[in-house]
Amino acid sequence: MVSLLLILLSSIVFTGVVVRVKSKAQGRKGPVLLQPFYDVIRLLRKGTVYSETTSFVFRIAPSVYFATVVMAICVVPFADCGGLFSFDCDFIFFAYVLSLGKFFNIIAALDTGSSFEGMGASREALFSMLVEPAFFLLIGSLGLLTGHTSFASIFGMFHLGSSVSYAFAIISAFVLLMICMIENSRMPVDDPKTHLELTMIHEVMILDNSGFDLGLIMQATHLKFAMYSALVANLFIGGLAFGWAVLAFLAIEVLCAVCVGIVESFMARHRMSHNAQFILALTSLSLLVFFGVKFI
Amino acid sequence: MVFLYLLVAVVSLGLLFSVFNRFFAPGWWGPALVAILAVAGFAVGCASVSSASVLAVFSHPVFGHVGFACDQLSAWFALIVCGAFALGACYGRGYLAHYASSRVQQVLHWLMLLMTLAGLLVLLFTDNLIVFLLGWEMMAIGSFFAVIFEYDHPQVVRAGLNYFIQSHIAVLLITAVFVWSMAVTGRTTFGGLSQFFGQVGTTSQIVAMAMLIAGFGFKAGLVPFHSWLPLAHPAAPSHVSALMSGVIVKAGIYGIVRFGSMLSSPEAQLPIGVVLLVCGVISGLYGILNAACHRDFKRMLAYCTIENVGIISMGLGVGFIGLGAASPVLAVLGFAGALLHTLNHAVFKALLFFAAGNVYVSAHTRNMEELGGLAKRMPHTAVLFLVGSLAIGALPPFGGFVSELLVYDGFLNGFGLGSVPLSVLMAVSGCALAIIGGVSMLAFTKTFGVMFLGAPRKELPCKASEVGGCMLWPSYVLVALAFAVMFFPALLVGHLFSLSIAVFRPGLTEASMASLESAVSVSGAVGLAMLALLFVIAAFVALRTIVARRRPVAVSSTWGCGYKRPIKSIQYTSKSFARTLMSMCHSLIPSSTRFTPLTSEEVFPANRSHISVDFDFVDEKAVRPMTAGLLAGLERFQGIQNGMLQCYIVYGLGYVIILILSVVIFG
Repeated sequence: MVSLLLILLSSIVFTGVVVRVKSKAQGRKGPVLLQPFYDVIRLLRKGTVYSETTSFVFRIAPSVYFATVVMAICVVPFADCGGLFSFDCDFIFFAYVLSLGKFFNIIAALDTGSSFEGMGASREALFSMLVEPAFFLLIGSLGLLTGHTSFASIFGMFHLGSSVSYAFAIISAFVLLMICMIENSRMPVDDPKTHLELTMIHEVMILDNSGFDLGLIMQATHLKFAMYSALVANLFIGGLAFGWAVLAFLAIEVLCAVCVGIVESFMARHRMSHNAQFILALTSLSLLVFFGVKFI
Repeated sequence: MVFLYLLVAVVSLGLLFSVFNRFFAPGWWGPALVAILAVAGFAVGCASVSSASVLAVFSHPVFGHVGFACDQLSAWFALIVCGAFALGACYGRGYLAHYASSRVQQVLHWLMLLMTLAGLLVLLFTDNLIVFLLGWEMMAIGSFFAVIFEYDHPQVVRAGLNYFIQSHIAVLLITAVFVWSMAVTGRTTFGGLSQFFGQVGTTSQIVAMAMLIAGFGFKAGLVPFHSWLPLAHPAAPSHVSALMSGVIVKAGIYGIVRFGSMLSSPEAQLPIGVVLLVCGVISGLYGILNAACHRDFKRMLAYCTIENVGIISMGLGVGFIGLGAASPVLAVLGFAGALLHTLNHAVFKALLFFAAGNVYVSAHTRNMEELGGLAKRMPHTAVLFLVGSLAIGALPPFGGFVSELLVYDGFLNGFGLGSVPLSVLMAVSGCALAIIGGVSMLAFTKTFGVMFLGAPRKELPCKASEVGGCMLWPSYVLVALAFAVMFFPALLVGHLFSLSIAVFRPGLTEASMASLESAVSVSGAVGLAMLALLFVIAAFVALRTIVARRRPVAVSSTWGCGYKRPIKSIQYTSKSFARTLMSMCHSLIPSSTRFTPLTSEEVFPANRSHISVDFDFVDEKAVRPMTAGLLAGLERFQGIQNGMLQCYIVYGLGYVIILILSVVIFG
């Protein structure tokens, strides 16, 4: 419950921080921190335009997508106090629920009959497929380290004490952040701010969404950012007193947002054909954690 | 005994009706008899869910002791088989009505479907090796005739013969092991086979079991024994495809489980487990990659069957490794996951094939590139196919998620195994399962999106419209089943745990008992979480509907990124959707393209065409060269049959001389 509230709270400013960091890096002043949130509110109040080729799938897909993200957040714990739902192997539920949302997003893009949106859908399906093993292996290895398989007990038991566990925490944080960037289609794999639809993944899939639906999709992106950062935060806050843990959690959320902003400012997008290698490299990092846990 | 009498009565009634088919319409008695037999089998299965029941025991001069009994394992498979056959018969009645078929065709079809079911029930309930083979043969022959319903099309007959031959190679392997066992022990019962496994050395056990796995693997469609599957499924009528894929393929799984449970030494169980796990990983990846690339939607579903059999085999592999490595929790999780996935796959695959059949009878094409926008014309079928696609990708809130979760749980338990190679194998297999999930999403978003969404890609020869009730309600029953697993996962998982413990007898300790109990309660929690997911989704969809009512809604054409005149043919096709994936694994999915590229001399390009054909890697690289070599070798003996009478007299003379010589020498 704590984690749900904290993630909802940080999702409001997360993208704002990212935008602010990017503006500073470009020497601009940048919009207010809450601007992305205001955008969402504005969109939620607007009317909708539907393409005439679309069917019922296009109309329910954004709501389903948003619902799955909310449901995935319900599984994320706050250190050792579990999320709303906590059971063994809940991280697999987490991954599969997010897949359900992606499934609907992809078929909604295909529903418009647009060549661009089909292209985005194809890329989204491919890249999210390549991410799956990295996530499974990473959390599975942490599970092997701690002897548990639920998020709450993994993070509850994952105390930082030895230098080895610091190494695990840093690699895991890196992998999780990169998964976050890929799942949200951000810089190293996708550039949401490009001027050309041909080079986009996520943004090109939602070209035809408008109004309330678009607002839901935007807010889902903010939530996903905050959710993955919460997983990163959980690596570090186990064993802290509650008050400190909340502070550390929020600080790490902001830190993650700053990292995202810096990466977006100073990195260029990979060529589409290089993305697959980049994403598979994450799996090999996870494999490193697995071997580390197995042999140390 | 009552059940056996009923079985014989129903089959003879079927024969009677086919002989006097002038007076009895096969469209009525066929489905009715299949359904009656299925319901009877279902009843027997229900009665033996918790405890085994003996149906009949007698002694036969040739077969030896013949017993018919239904234990928990048989009951589990019998319930799946009979449920699928009952629904398949109802669907088939509606489906065949769309064909302009002769009465003989229909009589043959229903009689053979009846024989398939009877054969399946015999092989599930018997405990005699020879009777098992008889049942197996009845099933193989019956399903062959059911596949070649449209026997006037040459490619259908070719696919059917391919299936027929491959399923008999399987019989050969299985029979060889049975004969081996009978020679060692002199007994013809299952008890004899398990005595055989107890008597012979470890190497012989592994060889015998590997032969059985290869034999049953042909039926189950494990790679590399799968090549009949993608040919036979598209050739068969849709209800037969559903039954083949949903339950007949599972007869192979039953064989592996039943005879694998007779292995008793850990030294044999461990390598068999590794073989099954590796085979499962390869089948899963190979099947789903091919499914992502093929354009014939029934062939795509056939490849998806190979993938799911792979997942089942992974579960079995984890189970046997658990037995071999003395980790009972691992064993029970693996076997329970495999058995639950057997049920789940039967439900979803039947649902998908029924929906695919609906599309085929109304659009008259199996090429998904010619379809599109069917969701508006066939809303029921679209919803059914969507549910099937979500469920088969193991996405919550459907049952497939629970069974894959059990297998994942097995892998995670396997991470902690003492032997490093085994735990690495578990980690790699877990990653493979994650990749399979991802590719399955790609494959099914593609299939559903291209078939049902967007605008029609081609003018169809006829106006596709929704099918009638008899072809819809069996699918809705299956949808209800797919959801039902969500409500009682703990019940099912608990039952399967006790079933696996009863069949495989892992040495359970107090600690492993406790962790299994916690696994059951976890599946209860998963069920709750899936209910919550459904509730949250419903809440947001409802919220959106309410909000949308108050806001202005406009309808316009799709945004073409500044391009004002979008045409239907610029939509993404299934080929273009999977293109990147295909180029990533082009060596595994060979395809040939025929296309003349544009040259600089050609100022006014003429019309040109682009043809691409996908092959099956194993079929192309292994099966075809092998059969070609066999044929070439056999052709050398063609000179013997030269049609000259003199030669034939010389053959006879030679034979007599050899006989006389052998009598002289040995007599």
